[in-house]
Amino acid sequence: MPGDAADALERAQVDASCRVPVMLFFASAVFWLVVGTLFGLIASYKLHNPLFIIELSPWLSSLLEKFSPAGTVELINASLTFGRIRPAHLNAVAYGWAAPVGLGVAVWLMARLCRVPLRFPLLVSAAGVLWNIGMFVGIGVLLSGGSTSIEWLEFPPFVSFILFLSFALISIWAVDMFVHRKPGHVYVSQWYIMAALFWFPWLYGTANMLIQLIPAQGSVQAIVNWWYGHNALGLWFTPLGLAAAYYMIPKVIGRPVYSYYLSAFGFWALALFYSWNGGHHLIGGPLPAWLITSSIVASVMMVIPVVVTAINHHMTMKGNFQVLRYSPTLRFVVFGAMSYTLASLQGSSMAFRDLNTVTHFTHYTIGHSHLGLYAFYTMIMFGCIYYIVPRLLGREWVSARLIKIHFWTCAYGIVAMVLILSVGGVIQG
Amino acid sequence: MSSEPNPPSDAANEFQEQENPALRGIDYSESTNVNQIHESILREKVDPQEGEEPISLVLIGIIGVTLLFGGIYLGRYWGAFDGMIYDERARSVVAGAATGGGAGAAGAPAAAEDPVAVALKLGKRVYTANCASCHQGSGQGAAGQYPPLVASDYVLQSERRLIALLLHGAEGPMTVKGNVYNGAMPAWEKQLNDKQMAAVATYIRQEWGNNGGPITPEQVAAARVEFASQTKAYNEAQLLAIDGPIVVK
Repeated sequence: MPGDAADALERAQVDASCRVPVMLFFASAVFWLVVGTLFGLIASYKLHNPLFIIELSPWLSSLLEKFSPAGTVELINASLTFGRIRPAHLNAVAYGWAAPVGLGVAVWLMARLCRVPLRFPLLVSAAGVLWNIGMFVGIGVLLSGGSTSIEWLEFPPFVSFILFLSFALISIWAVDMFVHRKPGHVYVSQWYIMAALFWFPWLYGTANMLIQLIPAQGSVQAIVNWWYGHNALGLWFTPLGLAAAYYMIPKVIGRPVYSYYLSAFGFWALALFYSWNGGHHLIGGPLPAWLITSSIVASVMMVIPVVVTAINHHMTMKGNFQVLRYSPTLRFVVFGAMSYTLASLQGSSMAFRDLNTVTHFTHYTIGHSHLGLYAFYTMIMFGCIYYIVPRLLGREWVSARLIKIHFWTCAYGIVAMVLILSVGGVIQG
Repeated sequence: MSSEPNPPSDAANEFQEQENPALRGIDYSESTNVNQIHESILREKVDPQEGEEPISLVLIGIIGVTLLFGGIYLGRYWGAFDGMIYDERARSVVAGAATGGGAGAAGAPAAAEDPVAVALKLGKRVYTANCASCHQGSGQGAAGQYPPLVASDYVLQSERRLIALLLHGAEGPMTVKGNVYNGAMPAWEKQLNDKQMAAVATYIRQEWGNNGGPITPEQVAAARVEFASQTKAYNEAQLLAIDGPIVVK
């Protein structure tokens, strides 16, 4: 069922206008995903065998002695210690991959849903370049030992400032796009994108202000830290992932989203409850009981938006599951949407004090975070890339078989990883 | 757009597996035909719309149960929304204050168990909730309308008179610190229990530089029995006739 010719022309214009900035975001994001995954692999090995790579020193030095000054091997070994490579992994995948790929998708979705060609494409591209400059400097600082040691905010203030500036440009651009949209219904994906682009600079700015520039005193810093740490996932990656799922699922199968009321309800419930969740990272910490309790309650309340969104997605898909066989986009996105439900319900249960006593500070938490950021967010973003890139470049994917292999290796890999980490975490706790 | 990429053969084979030609290559295809390449734009489905299905009753039920659970959990472990209570298992405000005080002021557990300190903390809450709207947080009252509690004879002179006044209220003209007030003080006999009334009486006798002694819940209980026959608010003359301390037998 093709749309009519005027619509198709409009979409083609929008896609053409997005080509450079969105591809810039996608390409750099994939680069950082590869780098970040490599960091993660090294960190994982190092955790079990701290001498990993260091054992290769004699071989490395004989290899490098002809090309590089003395001390190079020692420098490499120092850079790759667990204490440096672990934050480098987190920052490379969170700020290098997840954020830019989400921005790329958000930029494209905004242009599509506002139904106007991208305004100020140079500004968006400049923001992308700026972001990557920040990333290179930041990862360099982390590997050379300059981490601030604050989880999720390891980058020193001057790097945070570059990222903040780049993000602020995108946010301002999004408002401008929204103001100049073609009249008509404002689709649910647009709410999520606008909200995410508003929330994140606020979160990032406030957290950096209160932790690095004008440090709050004592345990308040921990509150700010986890307020930011959890909201970065909940009020930034989650809305972008949901915005993409809300667009891609009905788009690919060609029928409306099940219920506007569920969309609206899910959105506001997420906005209301997610912002309180951070405190559940500090259960047992030296903080007033009410703060921890209210964050646990809010974590459990997250069941509401999650169930609402899950039902909305499921009822949209109902009767169209056979499309999964043909559409890689849909396969990735539906896998991600299901993982969102799973990860969120797991997260709600983990907030309980009794379970938290066992799982906190173990691999169980690591399993949970990968279920959220990989099985949910990253899989949806992969699906979006498979949908968007051919439209931007006017070329089709080279091999359908490779896409299939990509999906199944990802799916098996992440399921195995999460299961093993969860079981290991419970034993550990 | 005009260039024609050559598809690799394995990708072409993939497409022969598809049974439903209508669903062919929704996101991708390996066509060498220029028209078909443009179809990739045309074959795209309409932009998503939103349906109008109402929210089902079952879902509303699930939401209700979740909210109910949240309320119960919050009520059980709320820690009185007190910045000094660190132990979520503290059952009541006073027990919480004792635990919180013990954790907060480490090394001074004796101070936390002092009943007067506990009463002052409770008294402040009772005062803020019930009294401060007229007598003000500063205890200074409002000129011409509500008499002050700071350095007031009614508060400091006689324990019996103060508790009688709190239990049954007062009305008509009264002279406090040289100024005449003509208002009505409500009776608190039913709203406040012995512990709360003792706490608030102790609080106003010791706050703002007042130097009266504490009043115990037992004393309030005794006063309740003593003044039980009083059915309406006192006037000034009746109050001034009540004097002396409350002696618990």
